[in-house]
Amino acid sequence: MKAVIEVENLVKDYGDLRAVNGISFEVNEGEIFGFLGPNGAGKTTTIKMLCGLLDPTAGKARIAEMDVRTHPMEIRKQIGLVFQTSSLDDRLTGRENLSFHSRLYNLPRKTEEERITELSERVGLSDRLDERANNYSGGMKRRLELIRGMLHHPHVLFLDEPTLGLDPQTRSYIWDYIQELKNREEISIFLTTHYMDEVELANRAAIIDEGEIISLDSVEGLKDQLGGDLIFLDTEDNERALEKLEAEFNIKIEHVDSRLKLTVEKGEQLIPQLTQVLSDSIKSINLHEPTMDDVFLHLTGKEIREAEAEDNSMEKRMMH
Amino acid sequence: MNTFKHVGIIWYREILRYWRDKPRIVGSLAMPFFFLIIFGSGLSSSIGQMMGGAAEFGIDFKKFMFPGIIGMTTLFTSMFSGLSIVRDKEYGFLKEILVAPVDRLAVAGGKILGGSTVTMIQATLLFLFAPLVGVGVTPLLVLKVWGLVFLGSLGFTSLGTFVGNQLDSAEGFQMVMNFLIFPMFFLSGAFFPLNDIPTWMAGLVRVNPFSYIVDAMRQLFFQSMGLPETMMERLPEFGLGISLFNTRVTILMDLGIMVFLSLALGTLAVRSFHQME
Ligand SMILES: Nc1ncnc2c1ncn2[C@@H]1O[C@H](COP(=O)(O)OP(=O)(O)OP(=O)(O)O)[C@@H](O)[C@H]1O
Ligand SMILES: [Mg+2]
Repeated sequence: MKAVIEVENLVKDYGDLRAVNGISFEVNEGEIFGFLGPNGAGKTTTIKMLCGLLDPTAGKARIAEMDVRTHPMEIRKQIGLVFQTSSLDDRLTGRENLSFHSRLYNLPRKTEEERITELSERVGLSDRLDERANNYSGGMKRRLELIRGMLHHPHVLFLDEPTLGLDPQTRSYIWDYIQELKNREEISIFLTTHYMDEVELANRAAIIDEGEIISLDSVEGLKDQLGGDLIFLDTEDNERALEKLEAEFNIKIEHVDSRLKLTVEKGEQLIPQLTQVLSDSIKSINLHEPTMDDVFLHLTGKEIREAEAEDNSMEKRMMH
Repeated sequence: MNTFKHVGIIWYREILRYWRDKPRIVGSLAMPFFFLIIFGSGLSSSIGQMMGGAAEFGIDFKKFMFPGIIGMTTLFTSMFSGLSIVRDKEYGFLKEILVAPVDRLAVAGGKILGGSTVTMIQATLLFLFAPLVGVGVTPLLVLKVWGLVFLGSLGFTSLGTFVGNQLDSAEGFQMVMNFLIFPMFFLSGAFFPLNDIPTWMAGLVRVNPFSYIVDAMRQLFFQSMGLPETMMERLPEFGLGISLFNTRVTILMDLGIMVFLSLALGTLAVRSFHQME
């Protein structure tokens, strides 16, 4: 498979702060690549360097075989970008925002019109297109930005937390659209997020924390690191149950908050056997297939939300 | 080729945004109006005395002030057009422009020309007040004023845009602008005749680039009012014109200074776009 983004030891310093600390990865042609990390991990900084908005302090980055330092113009023509924070002109209508974009990217007028009609219909904006963007709801603005990033048929699409602050319905709607889009147009997608369930839609994902990639694999591969499913078990007497289970099965069992945590390969197949062995002493049984949350916890020793709480002061600074 | 097209697209957006902001268009006429009516009426007898021989040709204080007011609008509007870049930063739209395959030269050009166009429109609107001061307006005069406002605004929109590129809050921009604009405005002769002013002030008036816009504007109006050439020669004597090294500054010299200013400040502005991350 051909790599469309190649990154080697990329570093970015803001003064004394090292925001990105020597990351390397490749994104293949036609794949959705997830970039998962807590606030302040360096995701947006990485995107800005890849798009030529920010000069790397050190390291190399290539897009479609062109160096981001030496070919910024050629690269800009090939990429689409949906920014984390709003980037619409509120005083223009939705259509004018799109039209401004397509002219900057030199789309022929006819293509421009077709494309605007097609994409705005797809995300359900066509009947609101001639209203000023400041009348739009947050979700509509996000959809407008999303199709704007797609308008000029980019080869690589960067999505920086595309569903931030959207309701679950709009989120899944946007996700359907991104999936469909990927199937229809020849495009590679670089996606940052801190929603675990969104990473599950990626082909491969990197987990980034404090400027470093701590793991990079297929989503399945990342989950496999955990060693399988988790079963949480509560019984009348957990000590006795533990002894019984250890005698009967060869599996890893731990005490977690007055419950037993079993790490097993095929959880759903084990449950019937468990009920047989422990019979009616079981109070509750809970099968948990690993999510990216667990992967993150496993790799960093902290939950993504804790990591974010730590970083809250930074977040506030960045909002200004 | 694309660069020209991109200049046009960015220019067009500036104009569209201006046009959508009707309160701003109307509101910006308020200050010149009050200046003309309040100062023009209140001070006309006392300052009128100072204008010496020009009074014989029917030039009173209001007629003296009118070109100065057009100059003022030129200065304020063009400097404040730099606010557009600060707003684009605040609202995040600048990212959209910077990541597009557009030469930074085109971004700078579109912004500067957009600001100049807006300035020309605002200046033209001031002709609505001409009947109030009794200034006769001819198509030729309007054409000349357009040319002058355009040339004069290039330098100041560049300066405003340059300052806008350095800052990222609208409030900060406004503070810096007041700091730059008011000295230029008050030390230009737009507002009072320049005779009998202290030497240090006369020096500052001469280094103030805005003085030359006011000077050229006033000469255009006086010519159009039919002031004879012999009288034009003597304008500096009455504090109604500027002389450098004992020579009267003519319109042509004023224009030369503006061209130089536009080139210098334009270069500064374009460079600040190239340095932007
Ligand atoms: N312009 C800047 N100047 C100084 N420090 C910055 C700047 N931009 C980002 N940083 C810092 O760099 C680090 C990485 O920020 P970045 O925006 O890349 O994080 P992120 O992973 O995108 O976070 P989030 O999920 O909150 O968007 C943070 O510590 C942040 O405070
Ligand atoms: Mg970010």
